[in-house]
Amino acid sequence: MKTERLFLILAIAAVALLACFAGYESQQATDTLRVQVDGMVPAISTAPRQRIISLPDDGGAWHVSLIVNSDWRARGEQRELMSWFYSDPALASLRTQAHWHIYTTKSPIYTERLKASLGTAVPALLITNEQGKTVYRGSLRGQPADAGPSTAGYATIPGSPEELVGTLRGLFQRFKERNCPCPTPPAPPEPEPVEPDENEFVPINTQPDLGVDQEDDGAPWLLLALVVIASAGASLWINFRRDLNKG
Amino acid sequence: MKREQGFCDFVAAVAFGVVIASLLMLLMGCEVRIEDTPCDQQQTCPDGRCPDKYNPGPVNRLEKALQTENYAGGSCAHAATIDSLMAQGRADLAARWRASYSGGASLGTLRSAADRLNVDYAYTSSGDMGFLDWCSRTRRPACIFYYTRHAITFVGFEGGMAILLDNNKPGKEIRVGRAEFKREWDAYGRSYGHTGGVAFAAVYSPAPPPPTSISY
Repeated sequence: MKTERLFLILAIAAVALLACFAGYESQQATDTLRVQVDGMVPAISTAPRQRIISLPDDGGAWHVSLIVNSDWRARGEQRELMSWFYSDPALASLRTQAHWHIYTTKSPIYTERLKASLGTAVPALLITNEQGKTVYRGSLRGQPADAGPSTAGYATIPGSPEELVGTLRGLFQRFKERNCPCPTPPAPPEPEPVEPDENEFVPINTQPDLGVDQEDDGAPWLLLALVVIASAGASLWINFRRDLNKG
Repeated sequence: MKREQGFCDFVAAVAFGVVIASLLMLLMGCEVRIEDTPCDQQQTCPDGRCPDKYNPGPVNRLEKALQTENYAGGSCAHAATIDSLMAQGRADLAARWRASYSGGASLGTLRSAADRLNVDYAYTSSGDMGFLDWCSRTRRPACIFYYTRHAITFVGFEGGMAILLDNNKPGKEIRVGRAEFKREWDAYGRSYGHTGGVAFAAVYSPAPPPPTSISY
């Protein structure tokens, strides 16, 4: 009986060690995402200048680029288009969920990277996913002659933010259907229908996966531990009863 | 004899339990994998919900015209930092940096320079590959201390290779295997008295990748 008890203790110890090891690995993975950072957060007077915080893991965010002239503030239509992304709730939501860029026609990123696709029309709007795939490109006056080819076409930016929102909503849905044919598990029953907020875009990847398996509820390991302990307990009980009967 | 039989029963019971539990875990695991695995191969959706994972975009290669050549007879660390700013669309800060700083620079110099210009930055001086993975994944190039008394631009990891740009030879991409790169990066960092490789990156919104077509 001493041997059985010893093995039961060893089994429990092994399960405990396994759990500790899993926890340690998870902590290690989280730690690698933390680096020394300075200048990104307001200084705390008594704290050392060097601090540890998590950096934005925004590699999966889309890009919304607005191309304007250097003197866009003096140009009514450019100023108005810019203001949509701050005053219209849906466009403001899109802006904050994506990498938001304002480039002038003199910006090197525009001249060297975007102009070949957009052409010289200004103001212009370009929405690409994190891979650079064009979801939307357009200007107030439609496609310029020097725009590059793209199956996304070249739109004329509509005259109101509501129309632009409607256009983008349709495009995003289409993009999702075409590019995300992931098999999805049966949806769990909804507690009650929720009215969609008309002012909200469905969120773009603002908190993408960190590339680290952080969410593991450990249920299978718990199950394993329970089954092993139950089996060991049953064995001990049977042996105990057998000894009692024979004794 | 009785004790041996009891022991055998005990081992058999535990083994049986392990087999049953393993089968249950396998079944549960399969259910999860059916949901997750195909999504890894897909593009990100606008809502970020399907799939939850995303494929990081291409590394933020700077076009030759956007690269900064070493200047003022030896300002490699500054040139590489300017590359980091340019890759994040901060030509304004890049111009101010270049107008303000030149000459050799240590990590401390870069930090002080960034502080003075109010530039947001992050760095490592311990050879933390997690930092460079983050730079690569989020498309934020970094200035790294690499080669003897030299600093260049780390663009990202691609296909198991580190993609580097040398400000002494703009326009020419250098590719080094990840393991070899890590070894050398650490060695160069230690030669400056640090505990490992040194990297310094500006932290702003990375510029979009070159636009490509999508099939509707």
